[in-house]
Amino acid sequence: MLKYVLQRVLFMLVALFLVSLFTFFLINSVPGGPFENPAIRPEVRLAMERRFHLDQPLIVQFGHFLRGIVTFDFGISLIVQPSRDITDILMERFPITIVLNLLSNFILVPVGFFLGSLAALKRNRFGDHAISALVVVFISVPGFVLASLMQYFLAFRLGWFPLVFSTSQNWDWDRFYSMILPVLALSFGGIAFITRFLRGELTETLNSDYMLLAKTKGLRTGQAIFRHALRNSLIPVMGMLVGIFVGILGGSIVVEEIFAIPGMGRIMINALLSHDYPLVMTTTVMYTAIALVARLLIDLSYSIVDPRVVVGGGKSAS
Amino acid sequence: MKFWKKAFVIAGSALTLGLLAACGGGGNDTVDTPPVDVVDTNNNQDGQTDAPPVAEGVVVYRRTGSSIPSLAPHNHTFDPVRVALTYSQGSFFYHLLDPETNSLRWFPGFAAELPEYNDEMTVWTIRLREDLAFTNGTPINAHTYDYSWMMLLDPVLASPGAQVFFNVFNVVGARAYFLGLSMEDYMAIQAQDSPNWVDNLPATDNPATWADVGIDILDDYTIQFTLHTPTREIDVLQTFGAMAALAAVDPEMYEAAFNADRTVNTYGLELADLAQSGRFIIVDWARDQYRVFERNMNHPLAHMFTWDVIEEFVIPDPGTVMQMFLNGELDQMALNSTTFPQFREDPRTVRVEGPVVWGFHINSASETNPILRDADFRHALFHATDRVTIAFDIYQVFIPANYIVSSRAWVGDLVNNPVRFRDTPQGRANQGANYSFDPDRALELFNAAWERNGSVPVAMELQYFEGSLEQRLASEFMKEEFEALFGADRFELVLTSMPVTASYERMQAGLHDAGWGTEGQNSWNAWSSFDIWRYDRPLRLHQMNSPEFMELQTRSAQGDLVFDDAGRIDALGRMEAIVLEYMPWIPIYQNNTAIIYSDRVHLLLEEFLFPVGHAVHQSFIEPNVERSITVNP
Repeated sequence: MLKYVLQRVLFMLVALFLVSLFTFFLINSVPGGPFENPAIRPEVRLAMERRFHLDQPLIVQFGHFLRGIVTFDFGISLIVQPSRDITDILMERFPITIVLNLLSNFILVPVGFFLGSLAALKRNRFGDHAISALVVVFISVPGFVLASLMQYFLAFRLGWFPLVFSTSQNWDWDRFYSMILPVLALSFGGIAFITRFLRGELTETLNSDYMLLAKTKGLRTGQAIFRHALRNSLIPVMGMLVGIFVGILGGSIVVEEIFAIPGMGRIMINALLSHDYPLVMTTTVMYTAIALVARLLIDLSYSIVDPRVVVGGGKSAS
Repeated sequence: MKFWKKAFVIAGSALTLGLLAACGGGGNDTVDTPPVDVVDTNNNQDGQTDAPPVAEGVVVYRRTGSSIPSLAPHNHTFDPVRVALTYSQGSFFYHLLDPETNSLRWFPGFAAELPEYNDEMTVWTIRLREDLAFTNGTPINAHTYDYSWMMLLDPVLASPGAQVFFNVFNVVGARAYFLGLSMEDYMAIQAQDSPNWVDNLPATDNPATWADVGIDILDDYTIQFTLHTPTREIDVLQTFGAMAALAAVDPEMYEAAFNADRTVNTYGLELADLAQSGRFIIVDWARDQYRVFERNMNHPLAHMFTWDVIEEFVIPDPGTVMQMFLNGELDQMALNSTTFPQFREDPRTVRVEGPVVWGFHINSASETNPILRDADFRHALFHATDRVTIAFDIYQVFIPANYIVSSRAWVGDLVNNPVRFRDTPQGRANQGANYSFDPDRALELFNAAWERNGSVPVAMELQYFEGSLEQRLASEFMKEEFEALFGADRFELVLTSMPVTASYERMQAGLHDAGWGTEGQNSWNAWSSFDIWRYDRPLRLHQMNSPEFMELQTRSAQGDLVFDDAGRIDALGRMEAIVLEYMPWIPIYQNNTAIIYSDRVHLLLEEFLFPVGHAVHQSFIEPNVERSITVNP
């Protein structure tokens, strides 16, 4: 187990390096630069490029970047928040995005599981059809449309919720209350995704021979489902969770804009569009690292869900 | 009924009831507000106030604005930051509406009086008031500015704000000090007048020192500037009239904000690291959410403004802004093509004159599309453009423009009796009839160009900005119109959407056929703004190379015409005509906008007057709204 984890960590570091290298040369190959702004005079642009080593060869610049990453000194933003430490920028934005993400996941995972299981158990009956219709709506109507509709009806017309994210700078009730609509908006897609996927997996499992055997052995339907069917169906669904988790973590630019949430979505887009290289690189490395760690955790958790799975390629315990 | 069915029914009922209630509820069209406590609105029959009445109670003004990433005075390249700094930092002069005469006037702010100058207008002296201070109590005097500008021009910090001293207000030695050049080398470079001089900067062991820079402190309250070229009073007033990069910094706080090797300075990156001195001070700031300003009663001109508190929210989505305005949470809302029709007839809606003209650039040196190099082809597009439909039907709020200099540009005696360039004979001469829309002429020109270029089908790609609905609609309209007029078998307009920055970068690299765009214009110095049409301009978006234009631009911006009002107007007219003759860019509309104000705003001016607009800062606002943001300590 430990050997497997160490191997995976080593591969993660290699992957991180390759992603960094690829991203660095990719963003530098895009025409333009952070200071190529007609409003900036050429002599000022020259001085600014010198200051941030942008006049040096790319490989030297990449060396500066790597040194920064290794020492956890991510440098300062060039354009998006000029001269501000990137760590400070991320520390300001990331907590809001991570809380939104966690709250969304707290909703979408159980609701998705509940609806998916229900649809599978009641397949081809009214409940299944109703849930399928809901899934179709959630998948086909973009999240930002649902967000706008909720904002209009529930916040503007009814006044049940604030129109925008609270101006409170503390994690108090006002802030959480103002997050309800955006969290719901971010959850609908994931709920639909999990529901549809789990329904398909579970329907197949419920028809399998071992479920028939379980029932023949005298297990009640609920016991058979929870002990055998759901456990088997969970494994492929868990793989999906990484994608959903990282997707929401990246921030939804549209939902952030509608509810005026100062999350990661806008900062990443701005960094890309303005060629703020240090900020682009740092966020890329951070998100890659999060995705890799999440993937590792999910892989490790397979053995918890299904003891027959042994991490590291060893033989099954059974 | 099983549990899940009950739950489903209950949830469905709740949702239905919610939607019904929402649809029929009528919404929050009114808000509970404290009672109005007004002394006298003093309205005349036109709805204009004769003099601003005095409001009793705290006047809170609420509006939206862009995110402000930093308040560092020296480092900003983003206009909203500059605007916020002009509020929070004191300026030497202010251009305001004189309520006694209802006309514009320059008021000394931090300066004790208007600037003095020598006969050549190259040496300018500004005397400061003696009672100036930051809100933290630190006094402000000439030495404070000396330190501030030395830091602004610091070669290691390479602050973008430094360029204030390089262009219109061109201080002797400032550029040499900033670039670490010797004065001798710099003077030699200046004498060569080479457009690429920054690419070949000589190394030196004897860089210019601060003493070489033409900023001298004559006494504790007097600053003298020595400039490279004679400079007009309006340009000096403008330079020190909205001071952002030139604002004073608190020397002690600034020194404390340096890192160990003095390569990075964090002054103004957080509110606690910024000393303020302006007419309003920022008391709370959440970068991407809001900022709260309070009137600084110690400012010399504090009595001229009517707002006590400004709450600015960062709300990127226009739909959300509209809901907040209708909810009574905002006092003004900018109107766009979607919202303007709804409020067109509303008496609270006023027009705002736009600073620039928009159109599309054509790559007149295209290697891949030779017809773009043909002036007749470009003129054909100019005459084929139905500006009225685009401006009035698509953009709704804009006005058609077949010219380059915005109607907001002033010429003549700019301090005492400015006139609009567009109202002068020279300005009118460049505006053809019917906004130059002439399909017959367009077809004639197209036919000539098409035959000269081999009579083969032509395709031209037009880049428009991703996310701009109006620009897409205008592009689609032009595609339809051009192809119908020139013949779809002969001409095709290919539309390509791309991000704004990518579009400009593509045009700077000369990789485009045509692309939407504009350039900033200084409404007080159109001659200086015309440097965008120079061939030696870095990052230019055009390929026009006119020696006559270059000479006129140099003479009128910094040469012998600077003090010749009549000659300068002639030069501006001729320069505009040269650009329109070459036609590197097809002007389409001027970006006039509209704003709707809430009922509690009683504008001092109904007609827009640049630069004070409707003088909303000086207008009477009913003090019947409480603060909505709890200021964080």
